[in-house]
Amino acid sequence: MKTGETLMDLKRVAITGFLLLWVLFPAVTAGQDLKTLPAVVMTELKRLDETYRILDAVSERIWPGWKDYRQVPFLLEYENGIRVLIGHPNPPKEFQLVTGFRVGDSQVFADRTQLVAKELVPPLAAGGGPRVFGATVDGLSVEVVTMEFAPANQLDLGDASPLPPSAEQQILIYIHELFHCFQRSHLKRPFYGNLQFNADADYALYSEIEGLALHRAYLESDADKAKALIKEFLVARALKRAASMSELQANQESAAEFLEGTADYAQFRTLEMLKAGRFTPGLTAQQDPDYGGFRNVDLFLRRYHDRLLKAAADVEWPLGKSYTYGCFQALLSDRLFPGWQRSVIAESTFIDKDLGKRLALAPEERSQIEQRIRETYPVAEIRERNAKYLNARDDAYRKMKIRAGRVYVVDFKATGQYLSTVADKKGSYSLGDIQLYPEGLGPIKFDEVELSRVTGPAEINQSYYVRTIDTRVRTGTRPLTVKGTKQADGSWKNAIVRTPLFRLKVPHVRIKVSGNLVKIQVLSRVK
Amino acid sequence: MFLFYILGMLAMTGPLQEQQAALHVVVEGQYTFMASTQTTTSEYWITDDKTYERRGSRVTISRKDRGVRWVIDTQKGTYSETSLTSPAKNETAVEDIHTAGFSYEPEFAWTVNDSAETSTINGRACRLTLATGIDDFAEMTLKLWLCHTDRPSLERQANGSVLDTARFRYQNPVTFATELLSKRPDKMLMSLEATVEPPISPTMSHRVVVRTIENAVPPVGMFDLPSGLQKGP
Repeated sequence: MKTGETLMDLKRVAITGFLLLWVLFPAVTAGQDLKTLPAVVMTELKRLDETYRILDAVSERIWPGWKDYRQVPFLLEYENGIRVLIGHPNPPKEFQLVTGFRVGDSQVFADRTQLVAKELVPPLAAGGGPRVFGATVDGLSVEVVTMEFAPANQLDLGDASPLPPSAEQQILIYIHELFHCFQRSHLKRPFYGNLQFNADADYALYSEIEGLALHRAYLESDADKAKALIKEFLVARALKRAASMSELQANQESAAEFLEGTADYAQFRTLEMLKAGRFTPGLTAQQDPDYGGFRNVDLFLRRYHDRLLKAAADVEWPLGKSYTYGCFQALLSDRLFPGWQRSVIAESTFIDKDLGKRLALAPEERSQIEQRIRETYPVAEIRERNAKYLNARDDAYRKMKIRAGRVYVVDFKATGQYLSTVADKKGSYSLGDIQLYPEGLGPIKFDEVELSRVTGPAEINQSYYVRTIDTRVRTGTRPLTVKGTKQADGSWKNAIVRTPLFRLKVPHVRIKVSGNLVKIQVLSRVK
Repeated sequence: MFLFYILGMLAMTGPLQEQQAALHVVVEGQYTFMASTQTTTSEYWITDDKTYERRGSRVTISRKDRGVRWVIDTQKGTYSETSLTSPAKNETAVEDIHTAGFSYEPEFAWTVNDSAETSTINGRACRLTLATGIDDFAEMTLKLWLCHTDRPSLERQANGSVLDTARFRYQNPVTFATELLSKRPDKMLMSLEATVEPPISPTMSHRVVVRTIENAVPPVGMFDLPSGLQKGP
């Protein structure tokens, strides 16, 4: 999950930990099969059931042949350690059958072996995706949709002003992920690898024009004018790729737009069909207070326009543009080029390439459009705005890269906490998988973990790690002090770790020192 | 298609020739990730200047004597050819800002402990060497079973097969283990177990063991490109 949200402050219930330990832990240690799941998990299973009902009504109208979504297993992972597996043909041994409840026709299994004393406080939301988990009895890998749940305010859907969390939003995410599974089994494309690309000034300029052109084309009711605007999109794309991208990166971009764009398109088309048709919700507000039965469809549809414009102006995450850019290319193809789905599949191509073929440009027309782009889009304003960010980003990267000294890494992987969702992004720059904080990183707090402000340049790297360097180390100085209860395995409980650059308060921690590297592994988010 | 490949190889045989013996190694590898274990079996025939490797439908033949490597897809009946001459490294390459910050390749700091634990594997007396690697965002443990060999110059050629079959995500442990093995010239690597804690993904584990090691005469034409294959991309 990627977010630009500010610090999250979990509202904990003081006695929660004790209650959960009392209720759950004896059951786990006794190896009994708990018959029930936490209420928030049960609600989620009902949302998944509702997802199936919605897809029963719309899926084959979104993409011909999309009908095997009920066969896709789901794995739901929660911050308290519980994992719920739905419809898996051969659940790993730690998963026990939950009796008396099915999702669709599928059995539900739960793994409670890693439970910690954390209350799951709704609203929660999840991002995720298809991945292999477990195997059939014959040893064949099983693909499941894995969803990682966190407090709903940590989920970034690319909205400038996010909507309040809702069941509808989560159902749309399920539809997105299920469409990915359909792609993997039925819509196979050439594979070029993931787009791993940082924007430069030319990329930022022309990709913003691409997004603006798509938006203008979508709003344009006259088909010929809309096609002319798509040509502007295509020319901006050609200029962008010629200036900044390799052929492989260009193909990766087109592939990502097909993958993520058509999955977003499936969401959008679902909303349109729910708006046009008479869908009777199977899930009631009594069963799920955060579900309105898609009565406010327009509210959700408008988000896609907002996201397109936000993505267009974004210079931090080029891959993130693929969701809306691909979605709107598909929506425009729906309107202007009926049958585009068959053509894209038959020719094993991508949506932008299909549009380019349908709207082929002669060199003279291309030159005219290039001129029109310079006149009708705010080229100078975009360049100036982006240069400020990009120059500062590159400067920060160069300066931080040459820093040397004692390296401190705070490793949050064991907690499963994506740091981008709980760290303030103010004053930071995004480059690759790194979030650079050249002026220091603000405090991070989640559950019972508190990392003070990191003084001096720091980075969040690889989603789970804070890395900083003490450049003023004197020989023989201790890298840190720890106060807490030392365990037999060398770890510390209820610890306060102090270093020259930050202070960490944590329920359970292990410290490893190797040469100049000091690695502080946070082992638990709660006591 | 595999039959086609075999027939192609037989067609290469021609008149009987005197075949030199080669090291024949069969290695079994297990890779466990996300509650799923994949087992692979690799077969190698190794001489001083030629190597044949088969894993599933993929066959790789390396010919140092001809400076060429063929990678064959026996199912599709296709092959590709690459030169064994490695291109000169560009030491002054400037980092491309477009791709900066994406790829993480750990440079583990390794701690090695030659343990007292012993075992007998394939009839050989073996001792466990334990190595732990740590880097900023990844960690790794490596258990190497180093075994006695009476024919080190021959059988140590299997070390690369064991490391290759592990198919580690990173190059660093391969380089490390190769260097470690070079310092134990009288031992060969018969088995390894590894646990990798990558930056984001869950724990990965690897187990590799040599199932067969023998000095034998390879089938005729084993190191030649079978006829009838289509050259692929």
